[in-house]
Amino acid sequence: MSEAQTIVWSAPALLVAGSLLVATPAPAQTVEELRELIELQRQQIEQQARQLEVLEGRLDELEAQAIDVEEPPPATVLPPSVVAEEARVRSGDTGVSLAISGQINRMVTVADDGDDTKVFSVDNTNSSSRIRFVGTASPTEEITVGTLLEAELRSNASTEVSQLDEDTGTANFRDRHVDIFVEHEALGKLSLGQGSTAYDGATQVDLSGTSVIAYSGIADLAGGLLFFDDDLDALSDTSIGTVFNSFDGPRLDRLRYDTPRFAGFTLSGDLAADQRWSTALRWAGKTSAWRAVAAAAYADPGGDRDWVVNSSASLLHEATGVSVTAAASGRDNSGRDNGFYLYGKLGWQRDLFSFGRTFLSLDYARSDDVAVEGDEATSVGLFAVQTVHDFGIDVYGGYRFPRLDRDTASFDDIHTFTLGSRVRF
Amino acid sequence: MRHRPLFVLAALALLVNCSTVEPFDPPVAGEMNPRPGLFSGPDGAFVLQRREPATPPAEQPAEQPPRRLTDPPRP
Repeated sequence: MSEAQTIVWSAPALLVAGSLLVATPAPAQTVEELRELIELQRQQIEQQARQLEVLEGRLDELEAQAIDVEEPPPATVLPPSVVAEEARVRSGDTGVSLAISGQINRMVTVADDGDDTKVFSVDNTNSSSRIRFVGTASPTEEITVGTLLEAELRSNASTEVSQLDEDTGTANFRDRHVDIFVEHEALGKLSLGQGSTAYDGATQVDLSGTSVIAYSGIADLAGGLLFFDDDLDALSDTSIGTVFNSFDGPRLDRLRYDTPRFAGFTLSGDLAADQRWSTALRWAGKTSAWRAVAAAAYADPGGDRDWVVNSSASLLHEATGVSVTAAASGRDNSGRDNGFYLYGKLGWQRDLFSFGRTFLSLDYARSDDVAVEGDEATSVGLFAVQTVHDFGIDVYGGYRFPRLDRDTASFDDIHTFTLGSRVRF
Repeated sequence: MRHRPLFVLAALALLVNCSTVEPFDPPVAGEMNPRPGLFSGPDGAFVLQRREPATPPAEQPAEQPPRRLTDPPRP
């Protein structure tokens, strides 16, 4: 115990002792004896007061010495602005956040090409496995500045595996979005980087709830599978992905602008590398009874093609859970018949279980003149999705039946059965 | 021309219906739409947020020195 601590503890002790002496009741004695006792106590109190005064003086000296030792040298004293900045960096500002999310989406596909049946374990390209970082900051109430970095990790992508290559090898990260954006409530959103072109998604609006396994981009489900040519008695080099194409927009390195939403409408435009550009108009609205969404787009896809036109719409009746979705698109094929794509889907959704909604859909697709002039590819699919809402899980399954008619070949139909799950983490 | 009133009524009904239409954010096929996550919970994402800046402590009144036994009584 230091000397200062001893003094600090001694002072109250002396006070307590003194007060005990003062408070001690006097026995029944004569008045003279009492006077002597009082005089003695007065002398004791005066003596204790003098002792306390001495001790307090020594305590002041020790405190002064301690302050001299502890005071930092002037060079280490930070100006107030620096101290405030340090506090800001440590504890930060409001309106600044980084959201990290991702998903795994895997499925097993059994495919019968008319000659052989094979089983594939694939990553579902309808909504691939990925990780996503979204950073946002709001310097003012109207402005949001942000970054979007999203990469997919597709091991055995469902669009790549085929009867000839059932294991496409170890996947690498592939960029989906590498984007910087600035959004103003009244002026709209400007995006710069790799990301969706304006016509990306313009053939894919869909309120059926089964997009994870069935949407207008039907080639994403098993696009690598090859048609078996009966005439040659061999697998052809024509895959599902080469004959089914919804001509939907890609993700490119571009500069994109989106207007603010007005009465549900949003107009978008982008300029992309290689002098490509596109523009799109979207609308989404709901009432207590209906939800509806629609999109239309026009694009110059570059290369030898002059144009692409996309459109799609989807309507959901809330009370019955019935939805209707349709898409139509076309593409300049540079010197031959234009490509044409048509898609329709009938959906139904209901809360059959307490843990999540159940979705069913039946769709039809037709794709003409995509790979070869005269090609007519059609597909029918029946699918179900069950969500486990609180856990971010979808379990899905279904059947798709693509067929291809070509004048110069005789292809067998392909039957695919799929079962899989998407887990959002 | 006989059906003109019907067309007008239909147009009016459409207008009335449109006035109750509200915009919403539809799901985008293939993208990660807002929904809960298995580990991240209802937000569907782990959100790292910089905290509020440390508020400077309110100005305190000057602390009075401890009173000594020998000091005169305070008012």
